[in-house]
Amino acid sequence: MKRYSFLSVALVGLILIPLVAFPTLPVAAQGLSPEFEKFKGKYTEEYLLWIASIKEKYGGTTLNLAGFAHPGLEAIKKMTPDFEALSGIKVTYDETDIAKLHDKVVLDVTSGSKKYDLLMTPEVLAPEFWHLGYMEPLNPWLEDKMAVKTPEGFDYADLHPGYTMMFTDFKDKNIYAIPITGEVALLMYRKDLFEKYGKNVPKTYDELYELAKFFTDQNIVEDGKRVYGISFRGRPALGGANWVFSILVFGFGGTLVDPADHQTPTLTKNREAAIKTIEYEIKLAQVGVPGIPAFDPYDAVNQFRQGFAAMCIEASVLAPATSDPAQTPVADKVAYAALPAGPAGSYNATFSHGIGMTSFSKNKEAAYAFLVWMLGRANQDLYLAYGGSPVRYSGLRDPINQARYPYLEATLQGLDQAAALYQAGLVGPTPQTEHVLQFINVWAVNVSRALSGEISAEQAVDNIQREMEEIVSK
Amino acid sequence: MNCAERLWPIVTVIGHIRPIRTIFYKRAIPYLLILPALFIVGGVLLYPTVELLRFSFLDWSFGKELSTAEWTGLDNYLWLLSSPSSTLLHALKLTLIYVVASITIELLLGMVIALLLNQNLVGRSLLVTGFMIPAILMPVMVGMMWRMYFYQNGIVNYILRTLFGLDINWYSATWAMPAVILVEVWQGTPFFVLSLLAGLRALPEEIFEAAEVDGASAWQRFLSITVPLLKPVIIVCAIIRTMWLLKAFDVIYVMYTGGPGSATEVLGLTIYRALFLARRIGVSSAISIILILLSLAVTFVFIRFLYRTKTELEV
Repeated sequence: MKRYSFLSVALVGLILIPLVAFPTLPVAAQGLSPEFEKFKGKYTEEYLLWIASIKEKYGGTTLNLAGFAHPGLEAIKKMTPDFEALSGIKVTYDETDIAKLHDKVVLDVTSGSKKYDLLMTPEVLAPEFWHLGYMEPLNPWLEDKMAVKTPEGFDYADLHPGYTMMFTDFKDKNIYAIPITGEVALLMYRKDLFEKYGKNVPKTYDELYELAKFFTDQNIVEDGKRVYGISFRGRPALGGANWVFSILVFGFGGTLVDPADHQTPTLTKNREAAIKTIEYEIKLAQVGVPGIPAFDPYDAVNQFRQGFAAMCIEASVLAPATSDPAQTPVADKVAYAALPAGPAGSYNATFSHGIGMTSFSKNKEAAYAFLVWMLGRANQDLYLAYGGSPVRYSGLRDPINQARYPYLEATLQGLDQAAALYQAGLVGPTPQTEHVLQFINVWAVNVSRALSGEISAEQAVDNIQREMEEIVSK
Repeated sequence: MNCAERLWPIVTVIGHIRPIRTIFYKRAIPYLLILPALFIVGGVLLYPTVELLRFSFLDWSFGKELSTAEWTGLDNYLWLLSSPSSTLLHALKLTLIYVVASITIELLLGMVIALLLNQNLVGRSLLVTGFMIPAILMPVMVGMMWRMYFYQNGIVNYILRTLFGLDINWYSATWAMPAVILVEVWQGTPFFVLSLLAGLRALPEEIFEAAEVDGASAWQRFLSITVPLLKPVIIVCAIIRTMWLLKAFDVIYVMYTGGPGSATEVLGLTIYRALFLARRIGVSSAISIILILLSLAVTFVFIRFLYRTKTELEV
């Protein structure tokens, strides 16, 4: 009797105790619930289980992201409904123009509002933001020292270092953002016109100029549109005239800042090289689409994809828009190449935009979950399908992607050219200094003034050096 | 002493106080009534202006705390006036060109249109409403729109090429300022049209009839009657538009960002660059103070002219 009773009690205890002590099984042990099951083919099981655990702890949170209009952000926004459904975390996008993002964020912080949890930042603004203390170092999060663990499918190491270095402090190696998009400068060209006139892709700056002049001199008219040689940026604004100048200057043997501190101006160390760069740009603009000194990136690429230019120097991130038949009548006529080489070498520069967490966010765990979900390797294919551009080795080298996105090969060549810049010990167009925005303003205004004929190339170079020195001396 | 005798001195004093009080009230009450409004306006206008003046004497980086700012006295003003890196004088010149050209064209065009609309036209109300459309559009949208219109291959050049065989590079340093003036005229003329039309409608018919009887031609009636009588309206419109245009920013920023080069860098753009791009709060505040002084000076001149005109009309 006693033994029977003991057995009964033991059995009941074995059943009851786990139910009392562990009212629900861990998510991983449960497997996917029906609401997650339906996403099984679209997302990996690891990620679905991980996001389910996020939902348990942080569902109901609302995140505010400050960003700017960009194909990468558009891709993320398309991924957002699933993220919200799976994580229970709502995301609000406060979107502006890239040139206005800095003002918006600084005003938000200095006014005390501090409403943003996530910050999409171009590489040019990131150093300033982290020097001002606005951005949270991600190292502890990536190293799994925080509340939210990083699933294996995120794979930080797969991100191309040409892009991650933009958001890594060169002094203390803190990582402040995950690249959402990366770009190099590409030469986009009309392969049909090249074939028609028997022209080859230019390999040097001189060949590029000669080709642009050739096409302009032909007076080509297509569907009532005059086709000029080339289109590129020249506006006196962030991401305007500074962009081409700050890449081509290395091809002429010039430099921008001292690698030791990323801020001492060195333009006049090889003054002739800087002058030749601007003179070259002036010459190139004269055989290009009229109006280059006022073009921003979208003006420049729109002139090309509307059929008004035979070539265009633009960011690789804008390449998808030139090969989409829904957006351009020349979609099937466009090809891509790396930038030609200058007399001093073949260089390029990477530019990247990233998303990081703000240091003052009250929802850091949810914010990190957003980063992991949106920018992880596991969801890369979806991100690319929605119009994002690849920033990972796996994406850039994937033969399927290379076939699908014809600009990828040229992008990889551009990344090699950019790597050459850093291997040569040079600092690219976005030095990691709090003055980077001021430097870019100085470059953009003076180069634009030279392009429009207001000042000479020599005056532009001297102005740039003097104004950079004034900035650093304060 | 009875009660009346005791109260009599008090009554006498009160009796003298009452008239004094009445005079005081009559003079003071208007000021007392506007005092609350003055407090609010003073707080909203005066305090920020005084702070702006204070900032103009500081060396302070945008994005950093006020505690990091250093007092530099007049250094910002001296830098603006003497440094080769300063664009103040260039911006002042461009601003004056922009304002004078825009106001002049808007006034002349507005007068012509108002005179035409003052006739008995069929569908006049619709016409007047239609003329107002540019004025009610958002400046940013106007800038984006006209930016595309001014492309080498845009609608403006298409019309110029078709009608006159002209091909203008509106994105060159030569033509960028005329382009922004054109856009401003397009958007600002309706204001003059509306104001001048209202002024025209209020003019007494008898004077014109008498002049016509006396043999005055239409042109003489316009010059000798219409313009003098409309002067107060013209001056007030000019004051308002000048104040507006001195701080022009949005359309020019969207169209050219002060470029190409610095071809359209008016004072508003210079302030923007100094604050948000060069990150110098002190310098941008100094430029703002200069702009305020310029606006006050221009307003003062206009107001004096207005009162002189009013006196002439009364005589």
